[in-house]
Amino acid sequence: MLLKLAWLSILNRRSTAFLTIFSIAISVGLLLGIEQLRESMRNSFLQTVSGIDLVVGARGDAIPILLYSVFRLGEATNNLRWQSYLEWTGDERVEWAIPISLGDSHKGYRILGTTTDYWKHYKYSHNRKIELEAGKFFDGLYDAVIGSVVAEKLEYQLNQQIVIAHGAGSAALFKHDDQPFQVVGILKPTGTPVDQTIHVSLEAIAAIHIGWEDGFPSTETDNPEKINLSDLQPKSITAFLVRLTSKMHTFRLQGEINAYEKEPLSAILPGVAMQKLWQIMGIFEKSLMAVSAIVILSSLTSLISLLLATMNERRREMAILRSVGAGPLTVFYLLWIEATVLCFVGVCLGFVFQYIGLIAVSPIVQDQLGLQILLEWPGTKEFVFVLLIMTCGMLMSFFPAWRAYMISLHDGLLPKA
Amino acid sequence: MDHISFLFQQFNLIPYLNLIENVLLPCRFSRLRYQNVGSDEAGLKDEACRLLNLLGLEPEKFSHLTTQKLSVGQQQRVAAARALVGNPKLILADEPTSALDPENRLAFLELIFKQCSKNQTTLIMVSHDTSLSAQFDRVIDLDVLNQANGF
Repeated sequence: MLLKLAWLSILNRRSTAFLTIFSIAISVGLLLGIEQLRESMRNSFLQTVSGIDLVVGARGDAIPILLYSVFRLGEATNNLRWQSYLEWTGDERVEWAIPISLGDSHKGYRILGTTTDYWKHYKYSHNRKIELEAGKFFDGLYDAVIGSVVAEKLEYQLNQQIVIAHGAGSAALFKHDDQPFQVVGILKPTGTPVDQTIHVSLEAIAAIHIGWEDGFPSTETDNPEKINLSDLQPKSITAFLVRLTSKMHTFRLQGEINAYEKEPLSAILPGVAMQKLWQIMGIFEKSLMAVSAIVILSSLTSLISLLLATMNERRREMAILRSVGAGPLTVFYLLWIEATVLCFVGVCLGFVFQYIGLIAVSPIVQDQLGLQILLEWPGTKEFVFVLLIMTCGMLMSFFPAWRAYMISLHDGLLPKA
Repeated sequence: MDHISFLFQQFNLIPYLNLIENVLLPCRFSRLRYQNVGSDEAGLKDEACRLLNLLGLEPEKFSHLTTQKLSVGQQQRVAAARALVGNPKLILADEPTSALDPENRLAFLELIFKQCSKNQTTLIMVSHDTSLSAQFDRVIDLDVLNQANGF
């Protein structure tokens, strides 16, 4: 009965009520969306490195090594020698080690040079291997295998010719246009940076850099046919990804690689490096969450002030209700229920906004970071948030309800105003 | 309010409820009056319609209107129906006719009187309009009651 009264009362003031609900919805959507984004990105990051025990690069800090080797973000300052790679691969504790070479790009997408071991061993989330959508893995010297996002955004098909540029920006300076490549394979989507990468063989990377000294093209024009196959043995790579026969060897091996006397190397644990990264990001995230919480508080406050502002106009209405038998407590409940209903509708709408927001942001995140945002049904965390917000709203609603109570007591049964 | 109803000078109605809901308000807050009218929602609605009909407001014609669209006279009649619903023992009316046209004042009072006598309801009304006093059983001058007022 009271519920019906409260509902009809709200409907009567539709437009102002709607604005308040809208503002609550936006702020709640923001909070929930940020939280889900955070969770999803964390998961996505973890999935990308799930099959790798160690990443080894030239000596440096863990986070940059992680970022450039796995996520293709940033640059390596140094390369490491092929010899070092061979030596460590041979270690009996190593199950497999995949060498990778980075540094070139094509229209903003990174080129990854690697061996066929990459297709054989690299696994991502839940032990999934990389699969072909069409074509085959690289075979010939100038074969390229492209990720699903590259294929989609650049609209490439098989047999597309591509020219690789030296350097990583989309406006890279020098092109290896004397040695074009051909797309022979397109990969299925993985939801990882693999989708944004163009894969070629290590030999191909060596081939296009023949005669290049210090990153500048050679002064002689090279005829592709003249390239001697023996020149193509890779001399250096950017990093290698390691999987061990048993996780127990992890720390030991890491220590040994770091202490390797023949070359300065750093072996990192992707999970640990990730945690460090998140610690840094954590401060940023926390402040974002704090801001959204304050915005929620602000919209709840505007709800309360809306109710208070109309209080005077409603004195008549409340007195009429008192005159037909409603007690002052009833008046209190009426106002309280109104506020709570508005709050609740706002929160529900907030859920909808959250998903709309995530859907809108998802392609951007995928473009920039190669990560997929998986939308999930609301879980316990969301419900706890909602509970907190509703509790806050309900407590704040006591204030206008109490005002109404006092007014109706004072006005008595006779309508004033 | 089991036994008493109020009838104010104007603005008696809740703007966001329809006519029938306005009339039935006392039944929502008084079990006795609810029972006096009927045992369920359908019964209540019927009684509200009956009262509205008696007061010259056919529900079929008027019930879709919001209270703001009614004229003052019509609003007062809805308020009267509300005052009568559930057979209260006493109706306290505060100048209920002063907002009405002079031609309609008597008619309005007659409608109420008819219902009151049928249900044995006592009507106590305050008014400055002495022309109405002839309709009532007892008339008391406020000065007589107001012994404390020496001025």
